[in-house]
Amino acid sequence: MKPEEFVKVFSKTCESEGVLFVPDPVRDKAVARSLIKHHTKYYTPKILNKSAVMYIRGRVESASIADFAMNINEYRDKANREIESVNNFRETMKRTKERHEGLKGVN
Amino acid sequence: MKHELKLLNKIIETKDIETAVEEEVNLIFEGQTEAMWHYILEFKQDHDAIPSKDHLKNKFPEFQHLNTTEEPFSFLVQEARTINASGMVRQALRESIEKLQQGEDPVEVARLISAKSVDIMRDSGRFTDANIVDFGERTGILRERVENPDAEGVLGIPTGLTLIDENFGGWQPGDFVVVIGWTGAGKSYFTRLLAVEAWKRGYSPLVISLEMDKIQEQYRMDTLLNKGAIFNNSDLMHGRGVIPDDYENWANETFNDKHPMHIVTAEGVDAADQFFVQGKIQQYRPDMVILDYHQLFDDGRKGGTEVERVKNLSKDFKKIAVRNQVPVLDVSGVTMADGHGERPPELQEIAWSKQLSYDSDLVLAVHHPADTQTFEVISRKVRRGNQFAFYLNWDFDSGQWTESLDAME
Repeated sequence: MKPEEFVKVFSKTCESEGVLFVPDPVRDKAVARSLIKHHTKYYTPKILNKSAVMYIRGRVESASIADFAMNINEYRDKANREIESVNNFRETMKRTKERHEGLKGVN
Repeated sequence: MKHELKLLNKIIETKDIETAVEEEVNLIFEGQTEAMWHYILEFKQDHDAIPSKDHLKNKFPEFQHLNTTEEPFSFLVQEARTINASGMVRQALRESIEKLQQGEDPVEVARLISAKSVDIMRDSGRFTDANIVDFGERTGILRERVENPDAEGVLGIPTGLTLIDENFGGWQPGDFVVVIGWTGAGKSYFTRLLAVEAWKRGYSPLVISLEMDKIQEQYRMDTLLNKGAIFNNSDLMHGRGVIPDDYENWANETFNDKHPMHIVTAEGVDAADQFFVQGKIQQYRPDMVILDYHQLFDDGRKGGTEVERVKNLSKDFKKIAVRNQVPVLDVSGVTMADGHGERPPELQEIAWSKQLSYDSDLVLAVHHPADTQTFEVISRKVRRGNQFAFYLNWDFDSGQWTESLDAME
């Protein structure tokens, strides 16, 4: 993902969630670049995007990329839990299906 | 009957209905005294007071004024239990002798005595501890289960959902099941589906709903039973698109001469607490109970904080399930600081207290993604069996639904 893309997605999400996006043309791209680099190296871009959505949804009035970056830890933890929970649902359903098919075979 | 009347006199004198409910006096009363006890419970519910002895005498001429000031409450309960147990033992023995005289297989008669003795121990409040090396009772239960499987091959009340039955089994006496979901996720509707499925199989559910009004609740049940054949839920709620005579004909066919399904709502109820729930169970003797929802119930033990309140109720609902040997399904809200998750809630997100997850035999988390007819169901705790998850494709308005194990993206 390119920094420009992240800034664009961030501002679009603010718009769709009814939160005021506070742009900072001087710093936004640089902060986005740093976030992408960090998350590509240590996490995944998916977690970064999910964290951004969770941050925006948790805001009452306004949001900025710099503020998001300063509080990234909190939102990354939440995003991680959400992703794990969704994966757990799929995994549990897969195992349920295997058992169900097995029972059908027995009966 | 005199010991039962003495007990009723004592309850009126002490006005201590909570202790009476806790002591399970419902198991002591029979016939007229049972009717008097139910009347006292209803009076308490309607007027938040206990009727006087004169009032009860006017209502039930068989009632007698008896002075019980000397005797402590616990003594009278014990005395009544002992006398009743004695009567039950005599009755069981009489029935057994008659069967032997009619030439029935003595082994079958012995089994009958064994089953009756369990009932007597339970009803007399003496069914308590067990020694694991005494395996006779367990063998008897297992034999009964193997020899008399349920029509659907499920132990207990079939849930109506194959995937729950396969992984957890049916609702069994004493089960405490917690259903969690975000606000508006359809957790109440989900439990009504379970109630309707039990009713369709010949069981009597009791729904105590503090959230919705009586008519809304009943139309919802109608919708689940009718499955869009004659009307949708919105037709009933808005009074359009349905011919009243068609509804009446359908209702006649569906409900006439059928076993009951009781719904208790908050209308006219001052305080709905654990004692109220116990009272309603004694009144209707249901096969399963649905409580909707946990955080709306009052705590009769007057817990100070919200956490204490939720905790007290959780422990008591579990005890109610075990004591009454009835499955209890408890709907609970969940909390999340930053809005709702886009997935079924986790165990640690149950509102206010972890006690609910400790006490439960099964926790089901349900989720209804916005603008879809997909309903995600996942177990968060299964005391007997494996964790499971599945989808329900459910049109809330028509009441039509199917189970699915195919992932939807």
